[in-house]
Amino acid sequence: MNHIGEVIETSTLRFTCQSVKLNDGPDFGSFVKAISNDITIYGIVYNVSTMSDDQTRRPVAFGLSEEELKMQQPQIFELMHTYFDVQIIGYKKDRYIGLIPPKPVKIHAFTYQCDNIDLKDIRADLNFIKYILNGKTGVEDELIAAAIRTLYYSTDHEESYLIDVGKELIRLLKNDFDRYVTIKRMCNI
Amino acid sequence: MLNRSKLIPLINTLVESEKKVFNTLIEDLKNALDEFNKVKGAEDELIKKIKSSKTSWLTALPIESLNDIKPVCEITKDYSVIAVDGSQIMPDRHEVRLCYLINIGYVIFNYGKNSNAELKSEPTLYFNEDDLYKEYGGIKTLINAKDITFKRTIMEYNKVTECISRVQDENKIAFENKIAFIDGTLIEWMVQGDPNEKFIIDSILRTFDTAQKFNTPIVGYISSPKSNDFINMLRISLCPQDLVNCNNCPYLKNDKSLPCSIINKINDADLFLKILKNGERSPLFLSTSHILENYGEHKIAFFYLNTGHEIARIEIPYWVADDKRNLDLVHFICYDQSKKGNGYPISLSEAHEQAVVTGADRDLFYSMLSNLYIKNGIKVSRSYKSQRKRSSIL
Repeated sequence: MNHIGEVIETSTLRFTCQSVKLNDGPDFGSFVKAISNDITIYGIVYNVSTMSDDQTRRPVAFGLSEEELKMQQPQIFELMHTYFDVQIIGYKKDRYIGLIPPKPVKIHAFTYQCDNIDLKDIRADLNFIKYILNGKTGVEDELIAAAIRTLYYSTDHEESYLIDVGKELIRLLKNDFDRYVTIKRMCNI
Repeated sequence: MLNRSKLIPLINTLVESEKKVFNTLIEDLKNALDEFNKVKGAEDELIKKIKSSKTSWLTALPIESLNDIKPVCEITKDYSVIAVDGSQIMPDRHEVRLCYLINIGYVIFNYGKNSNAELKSEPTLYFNEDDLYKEYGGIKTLINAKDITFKRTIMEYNKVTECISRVQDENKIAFENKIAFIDGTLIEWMVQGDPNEKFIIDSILRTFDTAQKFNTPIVGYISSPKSNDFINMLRISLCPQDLVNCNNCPYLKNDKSLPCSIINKINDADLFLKILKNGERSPLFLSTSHILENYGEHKIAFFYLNTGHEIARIEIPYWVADDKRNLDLVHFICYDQSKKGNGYPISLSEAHEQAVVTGADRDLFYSMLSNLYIKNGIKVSRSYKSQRKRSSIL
């Protein structure tokens, strides 16, 4: 399996990766994992950005199509990178645990897209809902809706999974019914 | 600390004197244009006069008709360009250890259908006794800034050779149109008289040989040139004497104003800004710099180019100038690169970005060095001057 990124900033709750491909980072709300020492750390992508490597040099508009730009200014594609931020939701040592890992991801660890087996593990532990809702990512509601959609589609549309997730959401948002309704609507299933 | 209130009057005086010069420039420009129009068509006599003249000036020797002002034509969209630049950390005896670093930045850009870009830099650290000291005439002295600059020049040319060979291997058929940029002049007049003159020139000429073998024009690009080879040519033309001999100038003796001094406040770029339109190049000239006597068959020719932003001086070896296709290619690529880079060739500007060693890089280098010293149990000693620069006493 090819890695999609490399960790360049890391902390207990989050990490940031440099994407292998320019303009082609993982989707918002997709699940990724980083292999760090003897544990695999799982997370959800909550922000993707593309910018100049050098903070003092700002890209300028050329008024050219991407094809024309590649032919006429090939160097600019070497001077920019795509980055993505990941919120941690669990880890796997012998088995998957929906808790914050004891150690953060190692810097320069490779990041991979989660496969169906990983998604099955994540699905089975509903703790991810709480982490995302309280994640202070600035996009908590959109992120939880995207996560639910991704996980639901990976089950071959099991209604029972939606009911479990719905119950957990109601439990966590019992004091904020409006927020629950908004998230439910954003799930758009 | 700079005292700004004392500085401002000094700047004002500078600006005032500049204003006066500006007015005389217009007069000189008019005189130069008149003389230029006069010598057009009489190139043969002019060349004869230049060759027989005895002056200390560098004089442009026209190798094309002075009427030959050529517009740029887009030859191809598919081309390769190599650009190399260098930078250094000079030795500092107040630092942890006496050493110096040379960083060579280079880029290879392929444009068109199979476009791609490579941007890299390679540092080299010099710390051995042989690198730090030189022995000349039995006296051992610390290497100076000039020596390091020459070393860097050689490394830049070696990198050009390496890149030319690589581009040749990788793109045998794909890119027939390729050139290699050097930042600044190809005429290494600075090395004249240096004990290592022959060694330096030989290594440059090896690069020229490789470039010629693989038909890759080497181009020296000079932005905002201050040279006045062409103006000097006009000054010779202005001289009323048949045989120009500045050592025996009758006008100088009679305390009169010199006939050739009516255009001496402007340089070539000032004049060509009036003559050349966007994209046009001047006729070709040969440089008469003495150092070129050591260049063998690689005589250096040059022309001026209106890049649409400024007048740039473009220097090329004679074998490039002598081949119309190569010459047109250099003309077009210089113009196109400058357009892509908003006034300065994008490849050279990115090579510079790769090469540049900032103040922060320098600090990082010395801090890495001292950290590794400590880790390995070596005593770190910096001069008190250096220590006080880092933390002054209040």
